[in-house]
Amino acid sequence: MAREGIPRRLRRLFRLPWVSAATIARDVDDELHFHIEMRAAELMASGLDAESATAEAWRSFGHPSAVRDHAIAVNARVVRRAHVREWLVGAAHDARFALRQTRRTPLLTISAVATLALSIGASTAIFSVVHRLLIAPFQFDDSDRMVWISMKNVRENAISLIDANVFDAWRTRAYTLEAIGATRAREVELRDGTRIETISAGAMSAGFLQFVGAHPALGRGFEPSDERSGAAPVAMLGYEEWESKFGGRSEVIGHSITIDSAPHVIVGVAPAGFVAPFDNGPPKRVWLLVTQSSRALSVIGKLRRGVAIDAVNRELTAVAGQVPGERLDSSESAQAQREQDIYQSLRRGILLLFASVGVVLLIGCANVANLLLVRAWSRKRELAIRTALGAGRARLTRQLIVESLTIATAGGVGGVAFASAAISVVIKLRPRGLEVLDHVYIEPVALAWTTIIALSTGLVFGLVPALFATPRAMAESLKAGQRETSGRRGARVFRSSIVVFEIALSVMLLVGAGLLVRSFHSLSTVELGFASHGFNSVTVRAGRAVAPPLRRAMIAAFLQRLRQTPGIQGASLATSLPPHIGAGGLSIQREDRAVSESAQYELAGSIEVQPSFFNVAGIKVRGRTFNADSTGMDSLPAAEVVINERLAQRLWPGGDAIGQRVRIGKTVNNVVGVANNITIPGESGEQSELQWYRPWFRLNDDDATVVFRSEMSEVALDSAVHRAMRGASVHLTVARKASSDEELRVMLAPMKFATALVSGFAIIALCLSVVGLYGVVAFTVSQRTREIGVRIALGAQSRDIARAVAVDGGALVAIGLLVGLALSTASSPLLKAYLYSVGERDPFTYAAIVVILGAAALLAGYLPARRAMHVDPVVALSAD
Amino acid sequence: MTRDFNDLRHGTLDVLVLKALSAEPMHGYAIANWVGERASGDLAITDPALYKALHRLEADGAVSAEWGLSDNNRRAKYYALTARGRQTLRSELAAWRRYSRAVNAVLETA
Repeated sequence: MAREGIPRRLRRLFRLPWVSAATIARDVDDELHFHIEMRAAELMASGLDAESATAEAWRSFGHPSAVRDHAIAVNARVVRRAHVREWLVGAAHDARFALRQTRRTPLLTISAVATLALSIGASTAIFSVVHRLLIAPFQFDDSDRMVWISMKNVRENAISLIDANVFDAWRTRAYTLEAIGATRAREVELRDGTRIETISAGAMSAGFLQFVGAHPALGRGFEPSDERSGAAPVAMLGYEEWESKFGGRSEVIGHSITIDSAPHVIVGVAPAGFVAPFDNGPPKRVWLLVTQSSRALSVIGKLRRGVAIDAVNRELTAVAGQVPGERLDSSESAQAQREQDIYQSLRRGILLLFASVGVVLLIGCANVANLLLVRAWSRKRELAIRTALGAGRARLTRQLIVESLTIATAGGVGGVAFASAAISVVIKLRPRGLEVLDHVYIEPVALAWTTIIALSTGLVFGLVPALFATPRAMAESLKAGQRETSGRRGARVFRSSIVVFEIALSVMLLVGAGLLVRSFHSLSTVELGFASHGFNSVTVRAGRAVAPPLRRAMIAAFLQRLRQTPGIQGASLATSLPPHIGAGGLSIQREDRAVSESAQYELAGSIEVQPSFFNVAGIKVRGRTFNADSTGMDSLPAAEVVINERLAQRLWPGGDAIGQRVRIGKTVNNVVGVANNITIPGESGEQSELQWYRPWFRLNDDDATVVFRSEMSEVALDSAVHRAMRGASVHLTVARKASSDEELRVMLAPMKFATALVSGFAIIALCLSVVGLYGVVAFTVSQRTREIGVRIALGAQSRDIARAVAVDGGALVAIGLLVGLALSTASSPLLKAYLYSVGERDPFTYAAIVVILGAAALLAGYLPARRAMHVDPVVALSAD
Repeated sequence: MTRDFNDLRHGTLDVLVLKALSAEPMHGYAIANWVGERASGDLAITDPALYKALHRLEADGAVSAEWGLSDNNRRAKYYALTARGRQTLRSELAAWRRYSRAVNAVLETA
């Protein structure tokens, strides 16, 4: 029997093409017919005639249909398996091919992957951060009905917190509120054995945890029975405090801790991460009960359903007015505010961040789109050839999908890595006051969204070549000489406009970042009005047990010793350390203006200081400071004040304030001196407030703050201060230490943070644009290789070629720059609120951006230009 | 290794086919003749069974099939043994010998 080519084909296993049942049936029939014919032939050889032989052969076979059915069934199973295997083999083949392709155009692929990673990573990181900032770290029930209640004085434009008796009245008589609670931040003394530590604690009203829908991690919250007079003082531990200092043991319940020299029974532990609503401060280590004599309570209420805020305000004002001992001014009223009303400025800043992120994501997607389009174009011929060789459209599409998925997956993985890194950087840089950011992590929703957006872009544009897979397009691509055209004009313009778009957006971000950077620089080097370097303060506490006269003596002794310490150049008593100037509580007005002229009252910050303060702080004063040092006196000091320049100009415009008299509250004071303004850098630029100083007379306070100047290191300073303290009295403890420089840093930190973020974005946007620009220029060069070859053959110098390439890319950059600058100029008023002493159209910044972009364009164009210069005319001109 | 009767018939048929193919690749008709000749008429494989066995063996990968031209220029499907088929043949042969020895041992006892 002849067998054609069987030995070689024997080695091939199961290369079954897709077969239908009909084909199988036909094959089986052929096979059986063959068998029957052979048998019939045999029978004929033994004498039968053809007809009977055939009939006999059929008869002896039996049931052919059974065989057929069996074969079909068996085959179907086999074919299914083979089909799957073939698909998998094909996909693996495609993946290998994709990898080979990427090796051929590494820069293009790496650019696409890097772009995806950067876009996904940056967007996800910032969405996560913003998400953390905008929502309370601790979710409360019905948070949309929670309001923060304060007393607002419209005349003085001041907001004050609530006294305990008013809160009590509201608690029992307010109907518009479903529930109400109060908190307060305090610093207390915690005694641990012999060590006394001042810690940040909070106080809350009974039932507060229930009110906000939280549950204690252990034990119970405060109850009304704890508020009864005579009840034992109770406390709750903060969760972190319980875990770290008390080992997380459940036996702490019932134990007593000493707070402010009084034993408190621990009744429970607050839930993990618990902070009161509307509180952005650090988590409290210990919680106490709000007492009847508390002042300055932060009151939070939950609106009854369907009640308007106006009604709440009216009722609360009325109730407050009826509280005995509280006389409400006609201009004072209760004000309830929802969360969104309070965080206006924070939200604005956050929206700005969102915008930047959106821009970066947009640029990233545009970039990826462009890169993939470029790749698509360069693959046109290859696809055409493969189609001509028999690859089906499905096959090509599958291959393109695999390629796009490869890039997309790599980009996604890179994006997650980058987002993690970015988030850890954010956590490290986060300013004080935004402790809530310590718990930021990659939000799954953010990651999902940004990934979907970026990956869809990749997939959509990666599949564009599939559109070219129509027979006509294929035929065209195969025509010789196709290589030298740069494609349809429409496609080229589309790609170029994408790049222009990217560059314009980057310019906008860069301008914004540049302005912010300059603004921040100005703010951090602003003239402060006092000498902050080496300017420190220490607050000492004499303990409740010590009688006032003794306390005064101790403090005076401490001050004396401090002044005598070598290394300390001057010390003085003051109620706060600049740049903090003290809250404006009292109104100040010229004596000769009538009391009722409401428009004439000024709100100013004030501190009480000894006469030596101005020297120690380095504040220049015109006129004189206070006559006598009233520290040791029992009676009130003379009614003298020193006001700052701004206040002096406000009250006596064009005139001299020295020698004039002012009314503060109800007392009339002499203005004896005018001091330099102290400038306080803040989140909305500088706030040079109205300030005034009066003689220190805080004899009945528990604490006394001493400000001093010293160049010593922190360690040496610590021991010097402790020595002076011990020398003065054993009852003194250090309640707080502060440094002026550090406080300034903290004040500037939010702005530094925001500036750093936006700058980071701008840099990322720039990198992405450079990559995009490179892609387009490189592509154009490769498209026009033949043309370049011709030129070189005709005698053009490398210089000229390079210049031509540069002009090409440069045109795009120039257009992008112009568009970007125009957009920036148009939208810069938006940024105005964040800028300090820098105009929003600052020419210096704009000029710098132009230079930067020029450099970037050079960088992007360098490699393609070099390649263009080295084109070998012989190779370029040979037939493709 | 115990087997039931149907199992046995299946397996026996398979091993006969495999043995036939171990000589050289053949089409179904040739296999039927080969077995018939060697069994000297005492054993005849029914044709449907033969072809079912062949298709099953092909599906399992013990044999491979190729369409070719027969001596008289007809389109015929040739089967050949694969490596797997050879292995199966060896193990089935060994099993058969064990089995037949066992049966003989039982039947030959007086």
